[in-house]
Amino acid sequence: MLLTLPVNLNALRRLKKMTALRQAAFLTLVFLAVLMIAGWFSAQWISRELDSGINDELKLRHEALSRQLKDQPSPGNLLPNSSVMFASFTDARQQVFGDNSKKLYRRAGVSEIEFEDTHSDEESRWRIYNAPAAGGQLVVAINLDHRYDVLERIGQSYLVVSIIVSVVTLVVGLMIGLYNQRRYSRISQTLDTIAAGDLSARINQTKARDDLDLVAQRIDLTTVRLESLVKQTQDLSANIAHDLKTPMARLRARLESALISPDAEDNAVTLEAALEQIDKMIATFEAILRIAYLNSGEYRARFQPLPLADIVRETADIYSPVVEDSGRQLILDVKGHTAVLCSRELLIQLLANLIENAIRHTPPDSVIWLTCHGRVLTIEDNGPGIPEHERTRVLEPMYRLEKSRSTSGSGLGLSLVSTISQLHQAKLVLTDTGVDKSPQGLKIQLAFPVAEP
Amino acid sequence: MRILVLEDDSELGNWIQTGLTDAGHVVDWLEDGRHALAAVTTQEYDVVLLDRMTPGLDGLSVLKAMRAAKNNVPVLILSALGDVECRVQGLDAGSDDYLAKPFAFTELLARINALGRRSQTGAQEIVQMLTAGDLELDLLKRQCTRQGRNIELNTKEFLLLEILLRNPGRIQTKAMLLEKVWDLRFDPTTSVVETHISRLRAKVDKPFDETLIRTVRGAGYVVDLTR
Repeated sequence: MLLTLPVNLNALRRLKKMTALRQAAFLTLVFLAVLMIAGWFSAQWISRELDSGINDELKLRHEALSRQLKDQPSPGNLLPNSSVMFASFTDARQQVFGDNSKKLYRRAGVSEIEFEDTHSDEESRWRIYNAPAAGGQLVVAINLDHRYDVLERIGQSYLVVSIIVSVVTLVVGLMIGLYNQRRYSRISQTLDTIAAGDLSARINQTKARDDLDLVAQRIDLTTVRLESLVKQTQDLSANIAHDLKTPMARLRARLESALISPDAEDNAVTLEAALEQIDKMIATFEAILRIAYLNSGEYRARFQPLPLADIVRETADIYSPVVEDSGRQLILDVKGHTAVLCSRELLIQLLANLIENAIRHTPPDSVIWLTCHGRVLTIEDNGPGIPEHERTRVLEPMYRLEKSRSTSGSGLGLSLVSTISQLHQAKLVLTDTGVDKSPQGLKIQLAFPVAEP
Repeated sequence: MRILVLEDDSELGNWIQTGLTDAGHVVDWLEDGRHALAAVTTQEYDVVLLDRMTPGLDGLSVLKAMRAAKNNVPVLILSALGDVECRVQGLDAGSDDYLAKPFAFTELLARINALGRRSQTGAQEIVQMLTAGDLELDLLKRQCTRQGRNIELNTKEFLLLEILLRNPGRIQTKAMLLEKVWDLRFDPTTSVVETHISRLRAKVDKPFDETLIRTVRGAGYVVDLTR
């Protein structure tokens, strides 16, 4: 007992909190209110219509009867006499046919009276019409209680409909609520699992029937992205540690030998080499910080619309002597004068990284094609290329192909390229170089979006 | 030159003070921003070095206060925050140059020398002709001649030579040249500056006996006529 009570209370509380049920209850109340107002108005309207209908009928009956009474020797047979309608006629000789109550002749025209007719023991309400006919006075009466019966029945039917509608709405609301509750619980359970640290948890809502399913799908997408980012961060820290260990070991060795060596001139050389190692480490950290800073996205505020072709030409001016001196060839192909929203400095750095990469990873005598057509920027080489399954991974920070681990470079160049292109909302695609240029090679293409005015 | 240094890290401050003193400058080293602001308003300095993160008053606020008081001493901002945004903030506040930590002492010295010269000459004087030995650079006609022979230079080569000639005897580091000639503020991993300098040398120095552009190992380049 003690155990079940709090559970039930909790269940009740949950029921109270259930959005769908609350909405259903609220809608039911609104619906009932509307129904009541509508009922009142229609009762008023129907009652008025009935009134005028009864008056019309009274007058019609009166007219018909007075016509028939004109040449009729025995009017008593003609007069209706039922619980719904009766008539009374006083002819020119003051002889009364039908009901002879004085009440009937008291007022001329249409009036209402309480009257006990011959068919019942109780008094009921009647509407009468008293007017001259066939030389005398004719009174036609219609029982009004029937009319009230009709009105009552309309009211009852409204009540029944209200109850049925309320019950149905509440039950359907409860069912939808329970169904949604199950989906909510699945989402919140998954979020709990994620919050507890398991980023592989998914809601797995495949079909998107409504916004709740869409939310579930979005949460899954976010988690996928989050998981890969966390994975990247973990890889990154491991790679940083790994990549910095080598220069640090060298640095330590150099400093130690400088400490032991008595020769001052030797020491100068050793220390200079040590400084070089430190500069390498600093460069690595700078690149990491720069990527982190660029990823924060604050940079975009200072972007300007600049012609892409100008930036490409400027970079080629700076780098073609460098490429030539390395024994390679830089071929420039620039068309168009399209402006893109960008940072000149970042784009030059992006291109510089790509060119430096091409120099570093291709054999001498290779060719590097730098192309800019409109908003599309391409850099190709006829070097060894990157295997297809590695092409997305090389964009991750500190990720390096096994074979290139031995070459210099921090493994951050392409990652910076990827970050800069994301910042420019440009589409970055890595493919093979076209057959016309090289059977393998690497082709990196950047498509910039249209600059907003 | 008289140099004020605001730096709260004692080891780094000591290193800067010793290095600059050895280079023949007079150095006042302070660790508190408020003291630095007081010193700069009461005494004459040729160059002021401000660290960004300092106790009392941060370097950027010292700089803003100085500029608000119409104090136009050249200021070099030192900062551990090396990124463009910080550089722009520093320049907006009125700094003349910006150097990110960690830095090479040669870089600091070269930049201080460049700043000090600016304050001595006052406003940029308009020169038409720059000369170094038998080399002449006509800035108006955009012509370069050496021993009467015309040397064809492209725009960037011309600018590179102009900067070296405008600062005779003062080392121009690679980073300074990248900033001044190509307007680039990142460190290329390849030898961009070396390559362009060697192209320039092939035209300006190689056909002649005397070398004008000298490499200072681990620091940069200088056009030095005293040797």
